[in-house]
Amino acid sequence: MTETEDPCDYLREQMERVQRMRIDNVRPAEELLDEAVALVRLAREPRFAACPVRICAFDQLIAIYCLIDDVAYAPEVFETASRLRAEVGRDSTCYACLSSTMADAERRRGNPKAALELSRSALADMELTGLSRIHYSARLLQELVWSACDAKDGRRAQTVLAKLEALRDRAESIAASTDHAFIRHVADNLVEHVHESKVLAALAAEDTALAIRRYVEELEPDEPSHARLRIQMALLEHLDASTAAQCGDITLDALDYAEASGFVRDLCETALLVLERGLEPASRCRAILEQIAPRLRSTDLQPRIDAIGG
Amino acid sequence: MTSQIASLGLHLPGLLKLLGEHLYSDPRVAFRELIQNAHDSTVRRRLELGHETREKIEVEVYERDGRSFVRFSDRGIGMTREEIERFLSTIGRGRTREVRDAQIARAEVLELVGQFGVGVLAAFLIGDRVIVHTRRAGDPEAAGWQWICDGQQTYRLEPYEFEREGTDVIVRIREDRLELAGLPDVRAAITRYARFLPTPIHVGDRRINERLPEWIEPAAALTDEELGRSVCDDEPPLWTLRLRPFEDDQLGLIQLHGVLAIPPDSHLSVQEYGHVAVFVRHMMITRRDTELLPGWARFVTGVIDCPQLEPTASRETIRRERVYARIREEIGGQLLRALNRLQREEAATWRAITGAHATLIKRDAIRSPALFEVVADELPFETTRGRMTLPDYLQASKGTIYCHSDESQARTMGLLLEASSRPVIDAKWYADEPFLHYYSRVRGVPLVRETPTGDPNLVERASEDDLPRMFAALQEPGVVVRPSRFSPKSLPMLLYTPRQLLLREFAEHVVAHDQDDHLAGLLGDYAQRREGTHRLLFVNVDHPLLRAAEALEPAMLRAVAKILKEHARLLGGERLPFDTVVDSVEAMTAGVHALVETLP
Repeated sequence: MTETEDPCDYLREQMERVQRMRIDNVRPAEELLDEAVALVRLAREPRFAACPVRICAFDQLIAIYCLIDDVAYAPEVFETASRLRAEVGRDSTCYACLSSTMADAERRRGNPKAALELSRSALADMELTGLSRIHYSARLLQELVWSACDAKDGRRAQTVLAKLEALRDRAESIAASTDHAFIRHVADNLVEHVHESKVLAALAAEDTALAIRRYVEELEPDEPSHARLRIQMALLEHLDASTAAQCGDITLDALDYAEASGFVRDLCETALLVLERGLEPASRCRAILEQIAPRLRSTDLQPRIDAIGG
Repeated sequence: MTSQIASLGLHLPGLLKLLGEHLYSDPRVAFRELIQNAHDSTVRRRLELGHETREKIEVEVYERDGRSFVRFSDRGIGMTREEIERFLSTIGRGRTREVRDAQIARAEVLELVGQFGVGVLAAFLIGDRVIVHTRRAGDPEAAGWQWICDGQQTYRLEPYEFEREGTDVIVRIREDRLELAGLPDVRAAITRYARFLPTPIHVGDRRINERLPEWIEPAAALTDEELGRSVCDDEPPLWTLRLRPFEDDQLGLIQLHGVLAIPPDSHLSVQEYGHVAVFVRHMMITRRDTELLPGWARFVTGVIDCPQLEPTASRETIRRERVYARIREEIGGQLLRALNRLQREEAATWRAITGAHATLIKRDAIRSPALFEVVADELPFETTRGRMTLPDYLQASKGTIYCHSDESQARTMGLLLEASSRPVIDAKWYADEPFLHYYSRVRGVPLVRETPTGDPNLVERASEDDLPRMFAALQEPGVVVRPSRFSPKSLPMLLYTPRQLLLREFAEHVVAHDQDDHLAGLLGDYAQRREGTHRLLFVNVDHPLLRAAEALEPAMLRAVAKILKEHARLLGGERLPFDTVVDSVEAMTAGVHALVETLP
């Protein structure tokens, strides 16, 4: 596509290019910042002022900062997302998307109640219909599962999981009769959300054995993704040497992916979890901490790094 | 209190509702289940009674008394009263499964599809009443029966004058499902699920399975291309591969059949493939299994038929069991071997595939060494000399990959490299640059991403001793002036602006002009991260104009330096703001003016 065509189409194509790079982790996250800032620069040109996809372009920068260190950048992420959200209507998909980003930022900066409230109110307030409603409801429900997991509230997690499963069934039902790419995308995403949430719901209920079984059956065979990495990290918090052995190559898998993708904080946190739980590969994790920890912007991990002698 | 053992209670209407409404996600599976019952009934007539029959199944859509009905008629084995009570009226008990278990040694049992004894429930996904008329085949004395159920716990069973052997299942369509029950919709649904069933199926006045794949019916078979077309949005595929049965040490002969196809094109995100339609015993279970193909094969689609795959109870997905994993592995192997062969033996087809799916293949090859080895030297890249494969490119570039991923670098790189007869790859598209880095690492080929800083051979360092006055005149904050020797030799100076610097300047500009900007916080952080980047002014010390200018009066020397520097700025290809271009031109004009004034 060339710039002579509809400017919004051009901007959308550029946005999707960066989005795909981010989702597929084709370059380390810190390098992707250049792509995201170039996209922001483009999206701020006057010719794109009327393109709704501008917001998605800005959101790429937010998302990449979250990949680098979502705890450290939570205040900026929350602020930026909330101000962008104020620009869009409740009937915009951006409203739900940014609400989910805000809720995640609240959770990561230690405000679980605010995160819960944000997700709930966004679910109630958003004015989407049809597949978009299904798609973005799923994102917000996923936030609620995370909140329930943090609060060790198994019943709440199970209730939300049931809603996600119902959404998945609806999406699958619609997708069964068509090959339309967006519909398939929604259905596939929901299948993944349900896989992830089933592990989280088991962790929320403090049933590690069930969480391990669900992970092995439904999540381990999936392609690596950031969401999967976060579930692996949540699971690692509950594992010891014998239970970790039931989860395939969970530590290597998580370390390899976080390292290759340049997720600075997640890499440090994964290495810490491995060391704190007496898992392997200990020497590689020590090396990672030595090399990566100085690049961390957040400081909350430092006491843990000190405690394991890093 | 003494302990006791008691039976669990069952609330049948609740269970019926649960199974009927929640077991299946798409109400149209009702058509599949009812066709499958009719098919199994026909096969069982042959299996159990030895009747060599391929009697057709007929599906009719009609209205009566203001209600819509769909009738499924078969000339199969039919049912006795006892069978109606034992099987049709008992959820979870399927006659077909019992026949299959009893006759497991006979090859024909693989044609039987039913398994769970819950298929009739599916009728209530679309209907509020199911009526069955049936008479057992092979017994001239057998009576006909009518069974009526309204989806409640009870059913009515009574003698019925049924004129022939076999079964009719009549579904009275629910008012809220009428949109699914028009003749075209019924035909489309049945065609989708049952187009490979060998029993002839007529929906209305048209047969929907006239021609079958070769592994089912060799005579007048569908060609591989026709099958490929059916999974490529009705476009002719670029290539197809017939999948073959294979022997496994532990599992024995796996009856894997199917066709993989490579569609005419694909688009990142929007139109990716990597899925197959899966048939089990010729009945479609899912249109889109995304795990049977290897993760790298997003440019491939297809159709698979294997009787040994096991569907889940809803028969909408396949159970991930050992045989599934083995088939997945085998498909990956057959595909990779065939692609290898294709690459060696059918160059034109191979080029068409790698050209049409280059973006997806580049992305996936980075994750799969096996795919990388097959495709690495065939994928096209945009270069300053048009589209080239990497071997051709490397020959032209003298063994080094030079690439840029931003327009701002394109001009500088093009100038420097073409001066030494080397092309540059435009790697700004999605996976190009990661692929080139991977190629460079795996094949041990040097890669230069940013000239002139990345390749000392292109820009040789020199001494400023010969031109001390010129270098003094060129000094400017934020610009590192570097004495050099480079081609083209006719170029006195080259201003190189790293992309990160441009982006940093943009971020700084936003923060400086609007602290209240939405993105000021994140952009401020970005600017800090990219501190230390600066422009580089490469000065070609052997250029005759520079040497001549060294002897000029100070004012003339400054004017020449200004003109040449601004010239280099404009030539650099940097996407300059309009104001900067105007400033630059003004500076050059002022320089020329100053020169003119010094003329005698």
